[in-house]
Amino acid sequence: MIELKNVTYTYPHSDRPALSNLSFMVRPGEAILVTGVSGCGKSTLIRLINGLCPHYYGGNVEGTICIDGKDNMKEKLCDISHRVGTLFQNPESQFFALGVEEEISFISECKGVHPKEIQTKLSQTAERFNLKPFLKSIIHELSQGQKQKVGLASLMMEPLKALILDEPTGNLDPEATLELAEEIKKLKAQGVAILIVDHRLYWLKDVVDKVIVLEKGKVVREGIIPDLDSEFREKYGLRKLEVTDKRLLLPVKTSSGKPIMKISKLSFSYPRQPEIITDASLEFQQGICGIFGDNGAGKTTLARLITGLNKAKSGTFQVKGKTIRQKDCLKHVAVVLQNSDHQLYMRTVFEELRASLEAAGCKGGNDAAEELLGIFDLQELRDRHPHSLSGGQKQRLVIACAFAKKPDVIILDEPTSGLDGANLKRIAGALKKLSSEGKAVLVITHDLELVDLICDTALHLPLPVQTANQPFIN
Amino acid sequence: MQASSVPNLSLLNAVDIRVKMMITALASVMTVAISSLYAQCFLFAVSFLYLLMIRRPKLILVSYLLFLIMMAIACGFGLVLAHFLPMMGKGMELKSLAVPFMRAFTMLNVVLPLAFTGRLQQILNSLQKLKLPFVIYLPAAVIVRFIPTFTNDIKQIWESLKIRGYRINPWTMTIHPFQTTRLLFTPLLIRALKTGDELGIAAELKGLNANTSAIKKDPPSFTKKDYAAVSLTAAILVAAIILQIYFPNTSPVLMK
Repeated sequence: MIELKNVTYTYPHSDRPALSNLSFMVRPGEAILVTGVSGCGKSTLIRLINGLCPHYYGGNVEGTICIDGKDNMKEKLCDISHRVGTLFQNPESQFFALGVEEEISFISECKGVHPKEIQTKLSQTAERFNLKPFLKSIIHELSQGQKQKVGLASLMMEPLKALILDEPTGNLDPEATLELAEEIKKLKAQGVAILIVDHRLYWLKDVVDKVIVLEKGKVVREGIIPDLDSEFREKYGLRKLEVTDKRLLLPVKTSSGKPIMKISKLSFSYPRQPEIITDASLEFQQGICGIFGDNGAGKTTLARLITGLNKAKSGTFQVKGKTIRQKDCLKHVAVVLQNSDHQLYMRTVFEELRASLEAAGCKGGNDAAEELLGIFDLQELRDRHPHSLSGGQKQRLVIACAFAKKPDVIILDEPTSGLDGANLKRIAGALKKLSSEGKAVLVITHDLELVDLICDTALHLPLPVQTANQPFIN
Repeated sequence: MQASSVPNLSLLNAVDIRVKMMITALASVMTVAISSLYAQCFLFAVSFLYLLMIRRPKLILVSYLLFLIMMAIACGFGLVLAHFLPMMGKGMELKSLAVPFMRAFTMLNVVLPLAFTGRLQQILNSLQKLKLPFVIYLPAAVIVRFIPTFTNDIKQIWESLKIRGYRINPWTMTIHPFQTTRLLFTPLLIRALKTGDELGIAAELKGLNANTSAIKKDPPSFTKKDYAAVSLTAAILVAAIILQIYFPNTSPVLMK
């Protein structure tokens, strides 16, 4: 059971509490959703429950936080972690081991479970999360969705009293999301108290018993998901309750329009592995194309091939009718991958944008940077250090930097993962605007809400082999 | 990225983690204790062959490049110091720098195989069995674990620079030294700090603490490969000591 009584928490060196007077309870067998716009205090709440605040981050806590009847303030972090498991939004931040098998069995090994028992549990858990083929893999080589599954599998190895899931579906495909919903129901039946922090509401309607909406560290609504009417959701930047899965309804190609980018006879394989793309041909027109496929289907690999980050075994690349070398693709194509920390270099948000414009050879950098600040609602953050921004703000900034390049084709890998409803609409609006300016926008996403909002066409992976009579795939 | 379902084929995966830890510990002691350039060269050469066995040529190349950059920066500062304080210039001769630099490379050669071919839990267990306190063995394990993550970060930062259109080459380094330094080191520094933090948090949240018990089974017995590795290590150490005894000074070529 998770119990918070009148909890107020202030971070060190801050005079304003991150959470104020919070009280709620998650009983055994119950699941509660906590949602709200970026920066409302969701992550702090997670840190309080799993003990990172104040045991790791310091700060001042008023009130009591109890897990299974034991006060977090009086317990050591390692003891708290034996009772409550946390799945982080960025799965990489929770891995301690390097290999998949090692990571999944790590908690059991730390608890001193007998190796034979660990082997049995490992086999069952890997089967449950479809991870058997990857047990001997290195975690860094997995797709983000697969990493998420490894994180969840490692938590499932040992019985827990409470479980915290932070944006658990951010990198999962819709099918894996439904599987996760079933897993949560099973855990509820086993008596686990579950706290879910997520922006996506549609998949949780039948899963959670209660929803808590936070704003500026305070509870603004406690109730059930259907109670969140559209006016309330609009006011607090929440996402939709119902989402149509349009992935299979989208056409593979629009009827008119010249191709902006054309790739023929594309083949690729990773070292010592069979080909994952064989003689595929693709065509990208003006508009927004969604790239879909299961976790690990090769969506990011395709993006890396289109940009030349991975070298194709074979393939011809054309942009606006002109054949180019694969290694020159980056001159015409911008890509936003899911690692914003690696892409920020300057002292302020404004400098970051201006530097991106300069690197792209754009003149009038200041005006263009101001315009991008406006499009992505970053004006208030213009003088902040890019690395001090929240995850969602960084995401918007790196997309703005990609826009600065004024590319013919832009590829975005899960651009709305972890974004609230208001920011999702903002990104969607910016992408639509870019598309209307004659660009090809490729969006790798599992976010059905984004697909519904912006996608004109679809590209489904894995790619079929090109045949003589078959036209271009997209 | 696509996960590889093909296991790493390095021969070192079959060598017991205790042997690899012993090799690392002995190499660090020997490379500090030995002052002869011949002996250092010998240690460097054999440790480099050991490193090649991890079968990660790109990783080795990038690691060496990073080390060379760090050494070049150290030399640059040394030269500036020598310019203002000529007394300091004596230490800037090649013969004085060769041995310490060789020591650093030898350490790199033995640490990388430990980090890339060892199971973390085995490292933790071995460190625990040495009765080391928690405050020593956890950071030690974090350091070993940090290396693969950091090399992965370097790769991603390099790609991000390419994506953004920033060019890093000798020309840009010369005409925009500050910007180039910023582009390379800001994300590197941030990632290094974050990775250290994240690994510490991950360890704590997995319940790793001073009372964590080691795996409840006896460690596996040494195989023929382990005994061969131990014997070879002993032979190499003896050879290095002989070189130190018979050629105690640095190379005559460098002495001239």
